[in-house]
Amino acid sequence: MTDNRASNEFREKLISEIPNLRAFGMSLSGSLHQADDLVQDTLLKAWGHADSFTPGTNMRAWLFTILRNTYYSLYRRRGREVQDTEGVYASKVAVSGGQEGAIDLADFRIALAKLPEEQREVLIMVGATGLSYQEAADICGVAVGTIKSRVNRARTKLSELLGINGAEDIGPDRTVLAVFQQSGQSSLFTS
Amino acid sequence: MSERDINMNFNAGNSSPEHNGELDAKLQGALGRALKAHYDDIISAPIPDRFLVLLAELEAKETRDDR
Repeated sequence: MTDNRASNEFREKLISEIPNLRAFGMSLSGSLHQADDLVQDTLLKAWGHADSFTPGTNMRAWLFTILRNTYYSLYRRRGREVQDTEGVYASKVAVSGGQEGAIDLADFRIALAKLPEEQREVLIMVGATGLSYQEAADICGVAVGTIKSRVNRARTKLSELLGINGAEDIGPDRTVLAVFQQSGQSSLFTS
Repeated sequence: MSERDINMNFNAGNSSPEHNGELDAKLQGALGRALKAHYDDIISAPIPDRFLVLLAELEAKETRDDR
């Protein structure tokens, strides 16, 4: 039996997953402060259950499952903290509305905060942390179709909240969005 | 579908605003980019010390217990 706790690789992979864990924790709790507490608990549990992780398998999915279970079983009962839509985000990205042809980031964050957790968590899983629909389904313990319908509902709800009714509501596209340098990640809504 | 594909499809396609495929692709792209921008702040942020300290402590405890 492999001793993950003694393995440098295991520890280093844990560390490399922390940014994504924080992002996922944020999507659930809405507060970076609470998300970091959640990540702390997740790392402790992951360490404690290190033997249940098979090296070479998807550590991100394994960690996300732990974090998600921790959130729903422990954190959610404590009551939700106020959605932190502005304080934490010293956004270097000025994705302005009309001219830039994109959705205003401040508006987007406000709208995102209004989504139910089950929609927000699938958005981050599928749209920002590179997990597949199947992986998200496994983490949430639901069918792939359920994930897809949550993504679709999220998209519809975001559109409504952002007041997007027609193509003219989103300005002309530009490809010069140099900040979006995340390669290899699928577009949020590809199906 | 990559973002570039979405942009190219949009630019080359039907210009009618009622064309659902166009709105769909455009909306997908815009929402996807906004989502990534939203989370990029966290994902690209340096790892807080508290986590590195935690893991170092856990590792040290493991080593002590083994000896």
